[in-house]
Amino acid sequence: MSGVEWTFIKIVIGMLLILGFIAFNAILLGYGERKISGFIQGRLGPYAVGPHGSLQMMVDMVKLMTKQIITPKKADGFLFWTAPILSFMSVPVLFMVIPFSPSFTVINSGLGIVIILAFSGLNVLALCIGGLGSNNKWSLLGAARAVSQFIAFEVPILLVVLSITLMTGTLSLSEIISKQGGFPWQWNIVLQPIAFVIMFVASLAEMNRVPFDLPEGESELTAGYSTEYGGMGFGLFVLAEYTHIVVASSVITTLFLGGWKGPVFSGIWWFLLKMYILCFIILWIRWAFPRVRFDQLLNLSWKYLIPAGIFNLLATALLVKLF
Amino acid sequence: MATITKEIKEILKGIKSLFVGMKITGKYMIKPKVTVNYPWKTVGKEALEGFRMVIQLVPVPANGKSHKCIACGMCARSCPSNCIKLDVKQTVEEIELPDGKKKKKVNKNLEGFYVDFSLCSVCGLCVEVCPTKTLTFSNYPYIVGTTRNDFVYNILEDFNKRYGKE
Repeated sequence: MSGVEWTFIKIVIGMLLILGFIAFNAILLGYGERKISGFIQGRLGPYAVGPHGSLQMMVDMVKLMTKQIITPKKADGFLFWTAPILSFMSVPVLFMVIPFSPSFTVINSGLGIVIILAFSGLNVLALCIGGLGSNNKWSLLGAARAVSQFIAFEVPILLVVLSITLMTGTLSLSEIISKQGGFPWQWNIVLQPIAFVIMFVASLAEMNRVPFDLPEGESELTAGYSTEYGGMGFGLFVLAEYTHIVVASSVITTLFLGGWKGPVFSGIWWFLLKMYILCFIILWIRWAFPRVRFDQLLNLSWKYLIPAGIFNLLATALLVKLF
Repeated sequence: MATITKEIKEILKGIKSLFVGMKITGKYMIKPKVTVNYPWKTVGKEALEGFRMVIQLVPVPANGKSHKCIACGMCARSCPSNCIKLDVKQTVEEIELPDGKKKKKVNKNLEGFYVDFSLCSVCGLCVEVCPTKTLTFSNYPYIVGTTRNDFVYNILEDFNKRYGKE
């Protein structure tokens, strides 16, 4: 076989594995979210389907898939149905470049982090046209909030990624990992603690998680951009949201926590362990903090995270030049 | 300068509060749960202590078979939602007093004690007003019904069934 064919086959197999991984993670995180919320509130969480309710999400998926698809009368049908598809479409590409382990990378791109930043940006476009096409005031407000929130928090993420890139001298995710060691004190988080905090907070805001879930804020906007969606349209949004949690955790693991490297037996399990711990913290945060106000949200980005990011970038540049 | 230090203090306080929130929720996450997995498990008797359900008649402690209800109707009159209906059979008999005079005596016999629980607001006025202290709340919470009449209880009949009179 020639090289081109082999690459093609590899991409198809990788794509199938990634789709399975996305579905698995959506089920796992959905179940985890409901269990964690139950535990924190002193409840048991889902318990009826399967042992300890572990098959609850399967049943929910069947319900979502078999629901009737309804388009509101005055909605723009094309935009309305492009949005969830677009939201989910960009998601598998994100996993293509994430190096789970040296051999478990679909595309070992030299521009991995750029691809992730570019394609995760498509999600906000989906939210925007979904909110616009719904012809509903809550959806429109949610979409407007999503866009302004995304623009505000994309800047600190770029600044952070830039300082990591300056330090390691590469945009390739696997090379960033290979420049870190196996032990915690060899990870980038020790050299870039401010960057880690900025990245974590900004990632939470980028994927519209609590405490920054203003685009869908239940108490104010019913469900924001997804108000008019039901059945699998809504399901695709949820699937994309959960996948964005996994991708954000993977990127933070790659950039700051040494990726697949561990003190002993480096491999994919270290990557998955770190990734799921981060996912768990993100789910935990949802039930710990109240939602911020919109001006507080924008202040956090423009007044604190971006100046801190610029300072961090300049300091990194100076230190890289000196040593 | 003072404002900057104030600002920094604010920020540090905010960051500390985040960890406090995480700590509290984390503690609750590993605490034993207060709810039970209901249709398969139910709470114990001690958890239902003080729970108010439909009123019931109390047996006399001496024999444990009869109640002391005198069918005075105070409970029905005090009920704000009018959910208590008493079925009282009055019989009049003439009795002779020791001094030879004859007097009419009214005997009130309780035939049925109906409580419409779908109207009851479990306020407890009937329990408080009862002159012979023969009413109390029951605490069996698992009731279900398909019609309104399922919640009209004849608590006298229930009493007789339970304590085996007649």
